[in-house]
Amino acid sequence: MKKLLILTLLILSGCTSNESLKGRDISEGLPNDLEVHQDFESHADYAIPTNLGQLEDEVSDIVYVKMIENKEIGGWVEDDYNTTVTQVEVLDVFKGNTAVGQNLLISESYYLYEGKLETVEGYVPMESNEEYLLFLVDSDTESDLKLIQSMGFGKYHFDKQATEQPIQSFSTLGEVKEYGLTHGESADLYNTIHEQILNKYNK
Amino acid sequence: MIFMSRKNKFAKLILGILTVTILFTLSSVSVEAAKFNADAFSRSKNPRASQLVFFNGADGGNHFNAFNYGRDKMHSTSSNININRTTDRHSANIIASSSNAQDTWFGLIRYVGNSDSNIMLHRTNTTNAGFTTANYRKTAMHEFGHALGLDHQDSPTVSVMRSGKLTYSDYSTLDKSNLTWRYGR
Repeated sequence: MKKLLILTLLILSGCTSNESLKGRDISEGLPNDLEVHQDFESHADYAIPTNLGQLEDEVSDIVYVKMIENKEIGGWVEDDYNTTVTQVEVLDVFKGNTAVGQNLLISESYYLYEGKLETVEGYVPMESNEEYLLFLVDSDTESDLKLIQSMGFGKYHFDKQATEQPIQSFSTLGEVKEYGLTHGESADLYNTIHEQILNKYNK
Repeated sequence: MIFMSRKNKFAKLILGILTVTILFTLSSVSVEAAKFNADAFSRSKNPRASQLVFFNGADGGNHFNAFNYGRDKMHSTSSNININRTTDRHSANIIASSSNAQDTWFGLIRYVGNSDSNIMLHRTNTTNAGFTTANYRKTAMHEFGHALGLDHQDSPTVSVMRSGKLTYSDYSTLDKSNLTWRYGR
């Protein structure tokens, strides 16, 4: 019954918050001209890793993946939000029990509100067919879902670094996607870990 | 004698080079500085500090108590910060709640425009991390700090506005100094 209620709420939130995507195919990812919402901004208090070793120690899985598609686009419901659920294919495994070729469902820290993009703590959505190194932990409540550790600090595209520009300084998703993370305060830290990751994992 | 003098000069030269090298190395180490006054605040946020209305819709117990605690501490930092409680959610411009979001944070603020906000504590992430009363209070005060426009402070600054599971029972001297700089005593 509870699951049915949650599903109904998800469908309803999808109906109300994804207006601008009506009639558009999102199986290949969100459109580049999707607007960044300028009226809402989310900041999180979380465990920011101080270095790569700490990040590695805190997670159950370190996997190199290819993004397949968004399974559910998240939305804001009452005083809480649903994240976006994205399917990825595992290309390489560095820690954990997943297998190469396995598909995983990943919770991403963004959603749509009033048909516009809202991300949490400067998170940048994964793109279809692009490859990422992910540092993951299990969801406490959804057995088939993995969460990205330390928000955007748990996701790395080898060719994309963080920018100090806040996400509200961008107009569209297409502009945001040029970066690995938009983080005014800790872009340097992200880029330091990014460099360590390139040295260790980009063989 | 002349030999000793030359030896002393050589030793002084080496000491000088070492001192300069150490000073240069120390100055190169990236230690984030504390943010003061205007630098401590988000430039885009302009909360109506004298007429804030707070609705506490968080779960009873740790979350509810921590948000009330955070409200009281923030309310008492300046005579120009007035955070009145309400039981009418729709009249509030700071709304507290508990979250089940599939994310890895402890606390969160969602700014609504440049003056209103939703502030949240995460249900499972905080309990799984073994949060104590002081950890909950710190996180709630942190979110109230954001609601009043404060930005994050970096480690190792002594501030409620640092990220992570930390133990604070009140805003730090730096936090209070920044708040009174902006809002008065």
